[in-house]
Amino acid sequence: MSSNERMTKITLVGTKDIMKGTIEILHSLKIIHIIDFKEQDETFEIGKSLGEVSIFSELLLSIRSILSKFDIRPDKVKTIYIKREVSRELEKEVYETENTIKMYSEKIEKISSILKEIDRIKSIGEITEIGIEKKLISSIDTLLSSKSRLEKQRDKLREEMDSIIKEKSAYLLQYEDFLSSEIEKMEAPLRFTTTKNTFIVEGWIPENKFQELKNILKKKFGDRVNLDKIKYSDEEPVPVEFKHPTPVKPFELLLELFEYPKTREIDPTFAIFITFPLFYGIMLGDIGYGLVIFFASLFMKTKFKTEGWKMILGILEYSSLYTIAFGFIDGEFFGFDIFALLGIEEIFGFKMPILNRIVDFMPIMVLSISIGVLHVLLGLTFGFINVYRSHNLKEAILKKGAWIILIFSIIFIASSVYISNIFLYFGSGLLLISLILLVVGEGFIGLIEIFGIMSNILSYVRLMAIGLSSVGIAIVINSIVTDIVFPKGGIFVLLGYSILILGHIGNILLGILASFLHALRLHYVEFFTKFYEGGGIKYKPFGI
Amino acid sequence: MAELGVIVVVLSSVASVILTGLAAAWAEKHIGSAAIGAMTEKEELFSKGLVLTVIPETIVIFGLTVSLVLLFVVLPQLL
Repeated sequence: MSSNERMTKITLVGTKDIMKGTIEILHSLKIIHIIDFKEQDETFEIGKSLGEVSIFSELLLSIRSILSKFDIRPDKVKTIYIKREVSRELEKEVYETENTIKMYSEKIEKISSILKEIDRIKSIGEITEIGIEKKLISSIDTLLSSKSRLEKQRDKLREEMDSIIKEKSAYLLQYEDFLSSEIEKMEAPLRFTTTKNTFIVEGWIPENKFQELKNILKKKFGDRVNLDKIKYSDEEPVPVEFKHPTPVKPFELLLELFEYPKTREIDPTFAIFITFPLFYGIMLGDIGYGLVIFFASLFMKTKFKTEGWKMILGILEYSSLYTIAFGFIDGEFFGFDIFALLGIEEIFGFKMPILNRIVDFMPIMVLSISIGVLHVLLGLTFGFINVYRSHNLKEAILKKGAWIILIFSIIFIASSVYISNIFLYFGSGLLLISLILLVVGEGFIGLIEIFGIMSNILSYVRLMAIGLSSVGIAIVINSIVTDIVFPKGGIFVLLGYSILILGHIGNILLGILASFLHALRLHYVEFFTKFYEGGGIKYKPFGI
Repeated sequence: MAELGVIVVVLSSVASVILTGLAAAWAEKHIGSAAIGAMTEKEELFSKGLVLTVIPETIVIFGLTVSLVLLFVVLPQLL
């Protein structure tokens, strides 16, 4: 499962005269994750930026203010734009655009404020009664009568401004894009180490790109530049670039919120992809709620296009599918017992619903704890592999294996009640072995940890409890409406529907949040503590 | 004497939900305000704060479980 890109640490040393060319190359390749220069001394100092950054920054600032004020985004502009070099002419054009837009918005604002005044005078009522001079009154009347004219003028100005913005938006976007990358290039030396005549870049690149970069640099600059792999210690944070298939991608967010994995560690994203929506579905488990969340996240995907939102909505989408599936098992549709209402008693020989969450909470609790045992065991197995990779087999058995044996021994002892006494003896034997291993591995303190792992497993009871409370609220809403409000008839029917809609919207929001957070917590607190160390950083190649 | 047992079981199940509920609320109150405080310094701590805030909910979940077990497993044996 360790499918992530292998990174290698490099240094790039070159003479200062080729620094600009090197930056160009690195920027266009978009592969190097630069490590910022930190320690200064007499020989090594921080580089200076190329050229005047401040002019560029000012320009960029005014462009961005226009872009954000009128909400211009790349996905809204259809026209394709071509890149142009920055020149005086372009600069002048940007400032001109800014000024015209400013002029228009000022005019519009003035007219709006006059219109507001007119409305206020009108709201006073008949002016003649106050006893103002006749002349004044007639001028006020002309002012009032000019209202429609002013309104027309304002609309015209608005239209004109919109057309200007529409015309310029593609060009502004292009310019913004160009300027920000230009500034990034100019400021790149601030991240380099420099001496009097040379510059040094430290950073990470994917291992398979090393030769390619080396060839390109050699071809262009010959001996004036040198690229080398260097050693790094285990403690150093290594950038991580995931290589997951698209369905798994959204779940990287859950690692991002926690911490990125170390290189040699097992990357748990795939496991999360399976278990997170499962837990979510068990907790929410309602056909209606699942459908609402599914379509809501599909709809929101068209509105929110940032990377973070895409990931959250992707996670919700998968989770809602599980929610619908568990809704069929629980037989719930917005809290109603759907199978009873439809008169379906069995499907394929199964009594429907398979599990009623109110009546059968005991089986669900047992199911939850069993899932907990499996999940914790999975975590411990990952931990075993991690310790085995970073240390050796002995350590792995003492640190993680002992816990695995302990959990198995408890499973055997517990199942001996139902199966046979041999299991009891077998389990006790295993228990003894695991306890000895624990004491050898971690000392007597290790025994206290047993309570920790027990509470970890019991914590999965929340899969039942959160679900129970969510169903509880839904049923209360439904019974208030169907038993109390609807029978009164008349206007109360309307009230009943509004209670239903508002109540279920509230319960859905609560359900989304609670199920999400508790599923997350089960992963962070119960699952990750068994194996996950973290300490990686996000791979941010120069040029993106 | 059976009736005394029933009363004790019912009261315990009530107490286990009420007390653990209060305990979880109290703990979450402190964590929540600390999380908000941290967020004013560093806004990206929002997600971590949110996760930390729900951690004490385990208390009330255990309380609910104990109460359910008392009502539906222990109580029927006394009746």
